Amino acid sequence: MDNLMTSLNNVYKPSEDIVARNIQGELIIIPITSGIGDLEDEIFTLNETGRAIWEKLDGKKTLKEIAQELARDFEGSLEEIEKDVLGLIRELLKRRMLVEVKKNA
Amino acid sequence: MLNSEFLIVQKEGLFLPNKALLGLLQEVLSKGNSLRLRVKGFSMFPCIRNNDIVTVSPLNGFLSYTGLAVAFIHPYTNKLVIHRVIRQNKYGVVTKGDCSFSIDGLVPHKNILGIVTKIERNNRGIHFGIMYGRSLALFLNKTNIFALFFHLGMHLPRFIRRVIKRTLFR
Repeated sequence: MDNLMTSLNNVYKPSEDIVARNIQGELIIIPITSGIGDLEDEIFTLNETGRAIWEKLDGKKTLKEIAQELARDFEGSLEEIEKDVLGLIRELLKRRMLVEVKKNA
Repeated sequence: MLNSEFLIVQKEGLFLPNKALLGLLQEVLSKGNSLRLRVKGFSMFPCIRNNDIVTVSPLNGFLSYTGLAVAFIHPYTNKLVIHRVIRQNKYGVVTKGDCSFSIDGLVPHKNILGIVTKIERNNRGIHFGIMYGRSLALFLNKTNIFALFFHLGMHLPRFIRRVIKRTLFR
């Protein structure tokens, strides 16, 4: 069972089991399942907001720091942005597109 | 900010331009994984048809490609192409579509990206020319028999209709 519990103090980075590319201004994410990337049935895109969050997931910043950075670029309260960041992270974790970076690792 | 439900969207059967597809395929194969994608075109008819789904897998130290359907970067157009290897030498391979009359030219070894390991059509696996019958498919490719039948099938009905029209309505 995946641990989908996440907090704003956690740090994440894209999983090795995905391929993410910017294609014609759109971020395309292809999960690799059992050694196969599937362009036919399993392809994901993030909207502008999702992409802004994704691009900051560098394995160094905490989610709180990412939300604070986004609050400077996007309209909305910090609480709302934190809620969105956590929502997306949970969705990405559910699809195994992210891995948590342990602080002392 | 938007509601997180809309931050990520699953898409099906996304059409990607050739250049984007090529980059994606190179990245997936470089990690030792395979890519399942839909193909367009008739040049590999009847083994691979328009809108078939193929799985392209890494080369994994393959030394002999003759008879295999391979994904490669075309030496002149730099586009991603899937054709059959009909010959190979130390400089590269010579490829040709099963349904083409002409060869693509010499494709350097570095341009070969992967091998077609699976074909799916209407939710069924197609094995001829990939899993078995490769030698027969290679023979039919080299002798232009596939190409001849395909082009006859395309043009003969039109030719017959024209002859009938001329004969009856002269």
